Amino acid sequence: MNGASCVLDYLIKYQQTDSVFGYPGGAIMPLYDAMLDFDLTHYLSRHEQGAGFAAIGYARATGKTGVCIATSGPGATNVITVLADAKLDSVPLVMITGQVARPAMGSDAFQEVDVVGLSISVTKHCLQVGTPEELLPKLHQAFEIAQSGRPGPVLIDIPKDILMMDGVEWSPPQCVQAVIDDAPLDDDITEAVANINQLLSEAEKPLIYAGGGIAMAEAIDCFRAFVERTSLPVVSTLKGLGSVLPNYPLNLGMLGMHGLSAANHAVQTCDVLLVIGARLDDRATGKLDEFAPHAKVIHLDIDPAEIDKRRASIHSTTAPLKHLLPLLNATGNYAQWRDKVSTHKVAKAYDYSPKADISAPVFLRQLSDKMSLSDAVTCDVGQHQMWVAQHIQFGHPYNHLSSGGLGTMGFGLPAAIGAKVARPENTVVAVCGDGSFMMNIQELATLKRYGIAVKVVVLDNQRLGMVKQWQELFHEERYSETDLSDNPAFAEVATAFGIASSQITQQHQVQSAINEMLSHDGPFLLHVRLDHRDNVWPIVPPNTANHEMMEG
Amino acid sequence: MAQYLLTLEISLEPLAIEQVLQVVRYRGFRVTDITVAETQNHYTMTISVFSETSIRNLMQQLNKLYDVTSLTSEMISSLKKSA
Repeated sequence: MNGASCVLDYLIKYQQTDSVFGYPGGAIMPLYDAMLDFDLTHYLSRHEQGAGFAAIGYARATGKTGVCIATSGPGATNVITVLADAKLDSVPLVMITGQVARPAMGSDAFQEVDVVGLSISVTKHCLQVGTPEELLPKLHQAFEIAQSGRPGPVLIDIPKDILMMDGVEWSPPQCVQAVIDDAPLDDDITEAVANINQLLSEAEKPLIYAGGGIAMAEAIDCFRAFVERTSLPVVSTLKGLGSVLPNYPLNLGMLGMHGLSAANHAVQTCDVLLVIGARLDDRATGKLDEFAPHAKVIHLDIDPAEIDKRRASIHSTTAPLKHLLPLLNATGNYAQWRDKVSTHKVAKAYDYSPKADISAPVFLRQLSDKMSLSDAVTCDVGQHQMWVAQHIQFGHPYNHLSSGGLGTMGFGLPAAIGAKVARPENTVVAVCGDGSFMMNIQELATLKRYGIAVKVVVLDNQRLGMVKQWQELFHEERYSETDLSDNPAFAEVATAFGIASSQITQQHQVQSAINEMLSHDGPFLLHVRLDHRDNVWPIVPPNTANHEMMEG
Repeated sequence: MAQYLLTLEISLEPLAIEQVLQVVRYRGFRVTDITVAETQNHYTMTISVFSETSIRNLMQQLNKLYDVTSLTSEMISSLKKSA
């Protein structure tokens, strides 16, 4: 068995990997040659970034580790954005890159780039295989690091000659480190739990701040049980959406720059803020000095570097949420507080009454109503991303795939491919902006090639909408390079790729178009024309406190 | 503003030194002095850094690096801003 075969053998036997995403090239050719002899499904993208985002989609839709393969040089540089996306959204991802053969390394060889040097700052860890003996131990280490603690991307760079080498004694991985999430609680936690429970019980206006770390810790069930026994109001970050079910009366929705009024006002008036699996990033907090000004913060997160990084906490712990949440309780009298946030939520509820023209919020709510809570929606980045967060109802964070930290345009379509491959039983809809869609539009060919039944919605306002919105609101309507009115006819583009499609321009067409798309057997593209004057509301202006939002 | 001396033990991995220096720079610390020595089974690295931000943040981030096996810091000097 040569090095390449050992890599594939390891993926199948030790990681139970069934699907990988990638693109071949010179230095990685031995791995692609070996694939012909292994029972592993490889999805060929049409750009390495598409393969990488598909691997992220696969990972985020399941909690499993995504695997992506690229060649050296330009193949490797094309996945740098993927690594950064996975780093900022804490996605378990193993990126395997081919490298030129060791005798050529360091000579500026054809398609040679120092990919480990490039990836240091955008990975959780990066590794280069220096000898044949290191191959399997380092590959195993890559998976362990990607999956343990706060997940993240790990790059492993393998020289071509090691992939081709025969006759080496390939030793299986020695020991499997205990994954941090499963580590038992230590004694220190008893005191922390007592302190947290006391503070929550003495509070008058406690509030839960739910982040993406809850689902990544596989703690959704115990989180929902905690919410149920305390009946506390919950606000969610972009990645935390779906942690509580939409029908929970005190689910106040997303907070932050485009958060809902009820969520932002609750944060700004609460007296104890229980932050769970979140890093208090700037899009969520608004002006940090004025964020939750009356709150004592309790911070629960597996990454010690996030505790007290942006906001000092009164109590904190990095204990695994699965073990910690069942021990927490809040027994105060919060009736007045519940009434207040609930009244605010009802008063500010969105009016979904349809008008003649299509509005993105109404369209998305109609789409959401036609989907099951177990289905998944991916999106790109911009106005439509925020409309998705505000108006689609999510049954689990695994069902909302949105590039949160890096904010990468072009994420939606390839992420949906990965999600649909991982969960073929669920409907997967990619809601794309017209600007973002063009950044990975080549992946329509991947949909066609494998018949992957992703439903693509292109919300087209013929603008780079979010940048246009900022130019309108904060740059005196000086519109610079945000007009995309020369967009192609997206439905015709889909047809050219061999994908069924339709286009709508009026509200009365929406319901039948959604029905046609969802019932179509196979991939489908629905082109939805929007008025370019529509903006996302509310919006908290930059460097402003979250309660000072503009509401349109 | 303060100056700190960090002492690290790092695995003998070719990338490890770069990884440490990347974190120090990215988190806003200025290197004023640095030494690296290879011993039997690891590197010993000392770095003097200067910053207006908390050393705790840097220590937490360095602790996350897989090849950093030991890490200590001591304050060398503290400069208070005049009112």
